[in-house]
Amino acid sequence: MAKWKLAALPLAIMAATSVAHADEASDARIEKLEQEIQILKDNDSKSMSDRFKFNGFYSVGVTRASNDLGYAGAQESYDLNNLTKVGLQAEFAMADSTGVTVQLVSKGEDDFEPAIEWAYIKHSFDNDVVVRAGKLRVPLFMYSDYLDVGYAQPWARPPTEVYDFVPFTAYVGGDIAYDYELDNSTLGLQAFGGQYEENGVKYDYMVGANLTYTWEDLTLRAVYGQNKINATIDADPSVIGVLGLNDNTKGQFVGAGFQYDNGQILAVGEYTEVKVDALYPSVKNGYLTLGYRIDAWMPYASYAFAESTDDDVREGSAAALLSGERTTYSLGVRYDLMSNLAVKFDATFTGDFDGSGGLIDGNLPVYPTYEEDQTVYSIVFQGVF
Amino acid sequence: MKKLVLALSLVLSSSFAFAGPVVIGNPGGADALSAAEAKKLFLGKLKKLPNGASPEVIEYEDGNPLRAAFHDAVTGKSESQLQAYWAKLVFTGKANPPNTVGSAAAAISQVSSNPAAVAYVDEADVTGDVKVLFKP
Repeated sequence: MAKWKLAALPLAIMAATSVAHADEASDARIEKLEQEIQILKDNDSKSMSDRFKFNGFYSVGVTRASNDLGYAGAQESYDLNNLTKVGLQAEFAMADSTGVTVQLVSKGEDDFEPAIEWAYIKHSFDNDVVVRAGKLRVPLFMYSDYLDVGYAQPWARPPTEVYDFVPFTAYVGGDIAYDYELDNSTLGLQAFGGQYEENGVKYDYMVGANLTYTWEDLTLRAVYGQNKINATIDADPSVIGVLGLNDNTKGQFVGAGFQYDNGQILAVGEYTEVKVDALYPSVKNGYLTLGYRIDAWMPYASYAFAESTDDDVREGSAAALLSGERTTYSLGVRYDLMSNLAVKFDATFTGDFDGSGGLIDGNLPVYPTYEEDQTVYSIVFQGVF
Repeated sequence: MKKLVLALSLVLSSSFAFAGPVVIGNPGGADALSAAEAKKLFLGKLKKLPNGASPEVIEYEDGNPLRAAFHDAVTGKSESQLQAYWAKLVFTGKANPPNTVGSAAAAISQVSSNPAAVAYVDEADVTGDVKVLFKP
């Protein structure tokens, strides 16, 4: 009995394996067929689901500062609105080369009133020239295009010394862009034109162009833009300087920037000059940021400055309000919690006002609330989906 | 038994056969790619393959170990840097990340059926239906 069992075992195993082999062969065939059906299904559904794309980004942060100066909107008490925002973007492809994009952003600093930041139609010609028309972002700065997408930026917030001195970020009009693909580098050209109106100030005849050269890990950028500024009857008259903007005041902007990012070392810098032929201040400003990645961590340090360059056109209270300078230092760290979510801790000190208000709204040296400096602490979570 | 054989072969193939990622294309499609072209291709910057066709890039989902190994070798970007990179392009309406598949087999069958499709698989998974365009 026991012997029979032992003899039968190899037989049973052989039988089982041959059945398994046959099974495997048909299983493999079925698997292949299933895969092919899946591909056919994918191809079919591609036509509709691929025409629509939805993406989003968000930023949730808290700030607290050493006093109530209001640099970057920060106060001594905890503030959850300042860095908090949500954006949703929908794209619809009408054809392979033509599509519509709309981006809606809701920001805490605007009481979460949703605003359409981008709304445009885009067409790519066969020669890769891309034209867009609609509401677009004014491409003055290196980070202009993704100003609200904190996840795509190294800092808790873009350096206000550079990013806050042009009072508008959007325009309505069109642009044309072309990328020359060189052997190991790319030269991008973008020209834009349009107009915009915000807070009762009209910016007409807005034209400009930028050049971006990307070689390996290095990006170099140069930009020029100009416009004609007129304050309308709706402009807030308490904003001194706006009053002088009534005769097609010429505004000009020049900027240069660089970025080096080899995956471990990050270095970014921009220098810009804003010139306004009126009481409204002309400024020069810049920043330099260095970061170093260690796995999911990226500690960074930033230096930034801004100063008015046309102090001779202002005197008295206008000078006190609109002339000034400041220097700002930031230390922070970015930590990638997940591949689409980062948290940033940042401490920023602003000072060196040299007796001025530091180009910060309402900080007049004659006021009892005058502050000579401020330190702002921020923690912000930023993600994309 | 069958399950055991399958499990064994999976264990064996994953422990011994991980040879490193290679870029694959359709046998009737483009020829070899340079390192710079491969990098541009998977960052959405290469508009034309060497044979003039517009490439259809196939990627893997976020979290796939082959994806991390490939980008480490070819584009030099970590997963979060890739996410940030595509976020910049998506939220400026410039480009969208490539379509993704779940497995090397799916990538191979798509590439073998589409002359413009380009993907990457582990070298050990390359079959006769596709050809290798670039080996980092």
